[in-house]
Amino acid sequence: MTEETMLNGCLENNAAAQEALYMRLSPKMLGVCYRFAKNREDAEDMLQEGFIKVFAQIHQYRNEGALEGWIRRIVVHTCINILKKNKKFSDSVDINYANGIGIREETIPSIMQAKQVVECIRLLPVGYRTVLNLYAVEGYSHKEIGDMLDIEESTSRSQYTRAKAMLEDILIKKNILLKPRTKSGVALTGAVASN
Amino acid sequence: MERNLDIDSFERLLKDRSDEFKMYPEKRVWHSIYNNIHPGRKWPSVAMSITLIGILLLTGYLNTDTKNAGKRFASQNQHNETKPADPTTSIYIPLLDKKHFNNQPSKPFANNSTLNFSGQSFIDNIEQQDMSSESVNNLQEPPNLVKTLSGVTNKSTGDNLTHEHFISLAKIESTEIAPIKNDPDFKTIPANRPAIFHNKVLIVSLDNSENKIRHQNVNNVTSEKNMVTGSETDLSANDVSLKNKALLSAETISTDKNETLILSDEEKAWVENYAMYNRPAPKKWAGKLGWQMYFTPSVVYRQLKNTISDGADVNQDVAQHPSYGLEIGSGFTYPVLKGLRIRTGLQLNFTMYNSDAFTNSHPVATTITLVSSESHQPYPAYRSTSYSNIDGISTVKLHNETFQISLPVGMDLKIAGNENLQWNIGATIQPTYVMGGKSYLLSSDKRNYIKETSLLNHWNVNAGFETFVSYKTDKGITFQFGPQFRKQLFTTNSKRYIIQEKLNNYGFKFGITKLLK
Repeated sequence: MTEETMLNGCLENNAAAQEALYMRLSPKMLGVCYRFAKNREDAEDMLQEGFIKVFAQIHQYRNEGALEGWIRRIVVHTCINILKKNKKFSDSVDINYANGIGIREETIPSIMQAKQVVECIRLLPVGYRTVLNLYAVEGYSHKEIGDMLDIEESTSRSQYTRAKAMLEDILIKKNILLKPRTKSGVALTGAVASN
Repeated sequence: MERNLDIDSFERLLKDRSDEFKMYPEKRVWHSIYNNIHPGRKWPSVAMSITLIGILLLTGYLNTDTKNAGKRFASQNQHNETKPADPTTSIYIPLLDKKHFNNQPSKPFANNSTLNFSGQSFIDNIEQQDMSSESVNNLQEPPNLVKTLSGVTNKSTGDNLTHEHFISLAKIESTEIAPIKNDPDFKTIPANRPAIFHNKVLIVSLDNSENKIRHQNVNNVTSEKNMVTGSETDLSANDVSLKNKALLSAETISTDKNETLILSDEEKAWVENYAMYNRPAPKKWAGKLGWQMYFTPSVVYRQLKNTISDGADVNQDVAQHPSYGLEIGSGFTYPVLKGLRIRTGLQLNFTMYNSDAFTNSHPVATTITLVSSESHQPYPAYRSTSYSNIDGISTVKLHNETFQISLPVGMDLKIAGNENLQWNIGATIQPTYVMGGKSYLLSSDKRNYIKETSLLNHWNVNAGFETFVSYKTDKGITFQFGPQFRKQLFTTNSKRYIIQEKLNNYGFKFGITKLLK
């Protein structure tokens, strides 16, 4: 089923088209939700609510940009709305938190996989990882993030800086990133370096 | 902390790796989404749930049917439980020896005579057993028991049955071994086996319903052979120390003093089988299941909505007035938790709503707007009518009516109160079948009404919400009254008609509930 067929079917509230669209995009969208959520169950709840909004608002899609991108934005906003119910994003988190994260040395991977990156991101405190996800992965500006999370733009910047530093520590401790040997920066291991 | 990481590379790395990440959701996520975006298609699951509940209730009812249960168990027993009592476990107990009748050592069982029965220890230990006189009264002839008993009573003296020759067979149903207290002569009686005593057979059954002990003949067993002539004898409860109310049926048969009744294996098996499997099944629902009747007069309001809205409120285009409705129903209630009862039943509903209109002397051509089920495009359907929404030669009140039968399923929750006086809230969902009615549809130009019953939806769903005060009398009858709101969830007419009509009933419910025993 082509994207256009699915879109037309969804506009007619056709269940088969809706299921086809869901089957095509839900794995990636659940990955998005998982980066924001505390656990898989929460991520699935976010996905469910996001797709309900997608199907309810599908007639608002104007064919401007990719359908996947439009759906992704709805899913991300759904995640943020759910997180906002439980969390104040202006809460600061001690940067030394990362030093307390236990990493089992014997499980250090030799190459960097997508799941490893996501799991490392999820080790961050919720405020940090939300800002990091929105800025580094989803591509929102700090001003947009401030509006979405009801925080100052400067707060978003500082949280992002701290989040990035903490994530770097985690990646180095997991031996996913190599410690800097030169002034030019850290070296990436395995597959990361090849990218 | 100074970081030398190349920021652009790092962010690109994060984005690329994160975008590659996929997870596969469980199926329930899609099911939840589907149910949410297609609420109307939940109906099959609702119907299945109701069917399942019905099957469970029916199964529960059948399992509490005493006669059927007995037959089923007896049938099973033919294969499994026909083994005769083991003589090593069927213990001979001198229960009814002369010393236990010491007050009346040789008094025969005569009409209206009273026994001073001193076998308390035995009776004490079989009290609380769930046995019924029905077991004796419904006794069927065992294959060879009559023959055997007949042989025993060759020396019978008719009415002058003596204690010395009293033969008793105790039929004891217990899952425990009953110890006989304070008497070294008494041993234990194994579970589910007849206790056979020296020269004595005592058929015993207990019933909590009467506060006396009766000695009964069992002519339905042996009358044809004139074996037993003892008639009903009341025993004083004071003479026999039963803690509970008991009914004792005993059969006395005279025999030689030293003669011991030996039943064949087949006869023992029959007695054992009967004792084991003819116990009435306890009625678990007794005292809990309530039968309810109620009626609810109500005022019916309606809300119209144009599904192809042009921005105008269609309710403003008609002169309409609420009218009355009525619900009459009956059903059952059952407590599932403390303060929470489920209920279901059948309910008849009548709804009516009035529109003010005018009549014309001759019909005029008009249209109603329907939506094609295939193209989903509206189209005019031509009709003729004599009713006008604008003007005419006389006024008329048009009654929009429906007659319905519904199956309310819901629950009541106690909010406050004590055992007798309570404040409750309740809710039901009511799958509804519309048996008939009258419907006056608004024409496309809103200038006329068209009488059209073919577009009535025969299936609908209503939801009911209520709060009520209930008072329970000492006789187990509960009266209740309180306001009720009933909302029709789907439109009265077919979805093809562009104007949706949904009814709201505001009523006051009166009900009475009787606990079944």
